[in-house]
This record gives sequence, C-alpha cells and structure tokens, in this order.
Amino acid sequence: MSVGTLRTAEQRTVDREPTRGRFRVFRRRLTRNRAALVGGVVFVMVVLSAVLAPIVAPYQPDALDFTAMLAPPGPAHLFGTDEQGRDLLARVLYGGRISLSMGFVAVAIAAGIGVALGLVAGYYEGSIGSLIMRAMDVMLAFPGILLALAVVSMLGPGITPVMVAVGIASIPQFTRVTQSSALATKEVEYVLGARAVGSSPTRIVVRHILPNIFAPIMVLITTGLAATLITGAALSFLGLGAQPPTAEWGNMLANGRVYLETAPWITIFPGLAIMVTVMAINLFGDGLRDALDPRLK
Amino acid sequence: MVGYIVRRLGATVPVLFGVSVLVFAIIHAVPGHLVQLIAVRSFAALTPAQEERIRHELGLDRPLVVQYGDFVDKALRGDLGRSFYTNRLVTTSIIEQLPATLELAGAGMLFAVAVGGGLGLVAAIRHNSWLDNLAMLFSLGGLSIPMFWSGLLLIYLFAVRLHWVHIVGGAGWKALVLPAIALGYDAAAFISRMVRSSVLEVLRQEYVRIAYAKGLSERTVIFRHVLKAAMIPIVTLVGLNAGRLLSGAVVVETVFARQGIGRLAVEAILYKDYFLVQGVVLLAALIYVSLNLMIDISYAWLDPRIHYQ
Repeated sequence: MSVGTLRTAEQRTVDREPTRGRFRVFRRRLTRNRAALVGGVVFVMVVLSAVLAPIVAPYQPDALDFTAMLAPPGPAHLFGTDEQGRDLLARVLYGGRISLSMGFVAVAIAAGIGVALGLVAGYYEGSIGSLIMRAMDVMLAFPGILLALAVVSMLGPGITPVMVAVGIASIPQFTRVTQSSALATKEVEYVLGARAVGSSPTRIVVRHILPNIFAPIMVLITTGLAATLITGAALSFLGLGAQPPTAEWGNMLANGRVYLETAPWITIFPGLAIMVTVMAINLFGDGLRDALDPRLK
Repeated sequence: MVGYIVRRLGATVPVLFGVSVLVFAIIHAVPGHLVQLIAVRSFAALTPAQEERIRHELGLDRPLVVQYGDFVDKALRGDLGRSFYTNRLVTTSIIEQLPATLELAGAGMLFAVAVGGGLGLVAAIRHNSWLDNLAMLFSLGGLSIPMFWSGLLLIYLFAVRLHWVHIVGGAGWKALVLPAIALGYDAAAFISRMVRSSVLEVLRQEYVRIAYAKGLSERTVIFRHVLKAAMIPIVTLVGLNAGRLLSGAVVVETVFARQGIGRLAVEAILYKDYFLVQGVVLLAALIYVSLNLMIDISYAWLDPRIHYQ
C-alpha cells in the first residue's frame, strides 16, 4: 500500500500548499527581475515571428527577384536582398523556424536522455551509475563542437543529423547535473520515508526526486537552448547543417561572407537574429536561475 | 602529491579507452559503406572481387575486436592511416596543420585571460559601479554573439572599412589579431564572469578585511592576497576554456580562411575523408584530456589540501 492511499483529502491539500507557495515566490522573483522579463518577452516574440513567418513575412523566402539583387535595406526590402534578390527579412523569419527547431530538438534530446541517465546514475550509485558517469567522462573528453562534428561525420550533413549530433553532444551536461542533484536529494528524509513504506524506485525517482531537482534542470535547459542554437547555426555555417537554398541563420551567414564587401547586410541581419535570440535566452535563463534557487546565483 | 598524480593518471586510462573506442567507431558507422565510398571516389563500379580486395586491404574482413586492437596498436605508433582524398599520411597532415591551430588557440587564450581576467578583477573591485556594469555587458555580449558572426564583423570593420588588415590570409601578428579576438571573446566573457564572482567571494573573507585594516594599500591586498586565493578557479577556467578555444578554432579558421586542424576536420567531413576525421578528433580529445590532467595536477600544487577521491 502506498503512502498516498493513507492520506485524507485535507492532508493532501496541506501537502500541496508549500508547492503553491513556492510557485508564488518563484513567480514574484521572476517578474521582479526586469532583465529576465525583457529576455522572456523578446524570446517569445522571436519564436512567434518564426512560427507566424508565412503570415508576417513580406515575401516568400525563396522568391527570386533578379531586378533587385544585393539591394540594400530600404522600404521595399527592409533587410535588403541577397545575391539572388531574395528578401532577407523573409529569409531571417523563415530561417528562425529551422534554427530554433534545431535548438529545441537538440535540447529536448539532450534533456530527455541526459536527465534519465542522470537519475539512474544518481539513484543507483553502484556499477550502473559508475558506468554511466564514465561514459559521460568519455563524451566530455571531446571539447565543445568536436563531439557534434564526430557525430555529424557518422550521420552525414543535414538538419536532422545536426539536431541529433548537437543533442548527443549536450547529454553529458544534463547527466552530470541531474546525477549530482539526485545524489543529494535521495538522502533527504521524505525520500527515505518513501523508501521505508515500500515505494518502488521508479515512483521515488519520478514523484519525489525529479520534482525536487527541477530547478537546476530548468536552468540547464534554458542555457542549453542558447548553446545548442549557436552550435547548430555554427554547423550550418560550416556547411554541415541546413543546405542551400533552405533559409537558416547559420547558412545565411556563410553565404553572406562572400558578399561582405559589397552587401554586408546579408551578414548583419542573420547574425543579429542569432545574437538577439541567444541574449534573450541567456537573460531569461539568469532570471530563472535566480528565481528558482537564489543559492545558484 | 605523487600518490595523487598516480591516481589521477589512472583515472585517465578508462577515458582514453572510451575515446579510442568512439573514434574507432567513426569508420564503422560511415553512412554508405567505406568500400562504396572508395569506389565512388575512384569513379569506378567495383566488381565483388575488387570490393573484397579493398575490404581485405583495409582489414575490414577481420573481427571487430581484432580491428580495434590493430587500430590502437597503429595509433600508438603514430599511424592513423592515409587520407582517401590526398593519399597522404593522416599524421603528416595533422602535424603540418597543428602549429597554426596552437598559435591561434594560444593567442586566443592570451586575449581571453588578459581581457577577461582584467575585466573580471576590475568588475569585482569596483562592484556595482559603471565599470562593473560595462564588464558584465561585455560578458553578456561574448556569451551571446556567435564566434562566426563576431569574426565576420571584425573582418568587416577592420579589413573592409578601415583597411587595417587584409581580409583573409596575410602573415605575422597582424594576421593573428582578429582571429584571436574572435576566438577569445567567448572565453573572455566566461572568464570575466567567473573571475568577478571568485574575487568577490575572496574580498568578503575575513583575512582580506584584516589586511585592509592593517593599512595595506589596495594594490598590495589585491595582488598579494585576493588574486592568490582566486587563482584556483582561474586555473580551472583556463583549462575549461582551452577546450572551448580548441573547438572554436574549427569555426574561426573557416571564417578567416586560416590553415589549421579545425579547418582540416571540416574539410575532411565534407569530403568524407574518414581516416582524417578520426585522426583530428582523436588528437583533439588527447590534447583536451592531457590539458585537464595537467590542470588537476596543478591544483594539488597550488592547494596542498586537495586530494584525489
């Protein structure tokens, strides 16, 4: 019989109160942080403009206009055009769909696998945990983008391989943070209590440990999103991700490099899009970290 | 100290084993079989007999364990195979390109430590002042501006607009300045944040207050007490950022069309030159693992209280 079935309705309400209180404190801290709010709002706007690109973009991203090649920013084309007369504003908006998707999918892969492995490694400290953590040490032996490069070399260039590669390369960070947090949490009294009344390991991990290590994981997801977005764009810039004519911020920059002297706007706007998005995520992430757990500050 | 070093070296062995397995796996996870790739390269349809011969020559017809043993044995002797594309020894190509990358990474590190460390220190000493805000703005920029964009902006500003340097290529220190700044900015941002918080923590310690109370000048307190205590996290950062710089070189070398192992790796992947990919990835991991090892050992030297657990 689990602990839950022994509780009365009143007890359950009492149990939920601290959670509500904590959420209120979190919300208050987050909304008081002006930089985090600005970051959050800007990020939502970036995501919305990418999602609504078919509605808000003034042109199709692949529409060629040979009468307006390399046109500087002006009323007809707010961000100017590229060497084939394609509207850069439309390409930046549509490019956001690919760049942001790469970041979101990669961070979802990294968080999904990394947190699961970290929970297992943290809960079962023995040989399974040790094996997982040694595997993470091996992955961390490849600095930064190099592990992603190694994975792309196995999968071949393309958007999906880059998402998978960047996701895999980011797994160790999630595993390490989750494992160390789970290790600390599994010795606290309520977890010991749950174990004493015979709760299954899965229930203990999902119901008791995971919600209590949510703060560092959430912070890692936000900072991880910024990092995966940059790495994904970097791989596309190197010619290993999204391939032309697909509009994507990284490959737009690679294309703009050739026209740096004659049409710098091809380089400026996609770069600005990456910078603004990453800065917004970082500001929001910092605020989230401070609001969720001021000790992490 | 000797015991610590021995145990730390021991911990490196399983990591190196894992690295070698992962690098070995690259060849076996090739999209489209290796033999087919070679056939495509030679513009010829291979007969089954020719295919078999190539498989035999590459040793692919032997059990995986034997192939792995052979790979490690050859790698230890410096034989990483030949490039599919140029038919040159992978080791030779890497040795040729490595100095350029080390030069770039070294210059990037110098910029990162000097600018990042300096700004972090100033920000902590002048906590909550406009200098502190400016340093943190610099840091936020470094963490948000991708290396490949900052590189392009630097080229646009200093080469295209101001004509201070050549757009690409060139020689000597002038050709190194912009790539080093582009490479080091991200690390400088990271270092400035960490140095700031580390120095702030030390500044709050009692012995620092006592040092001030004794009437020592700010300069003496900072350089004799604060910096010394803040040294360990700074050493860690240098190690962590060495990896960042090494992987950043991949991007920066492409932006500035510089020679180096980063560019070699990208070209190897694009041309499906898998032995070369293996070689570069293995080398990068070895450099990174060795750096981390040296840094961990330097901890024990800097702080004798540190023991291996």
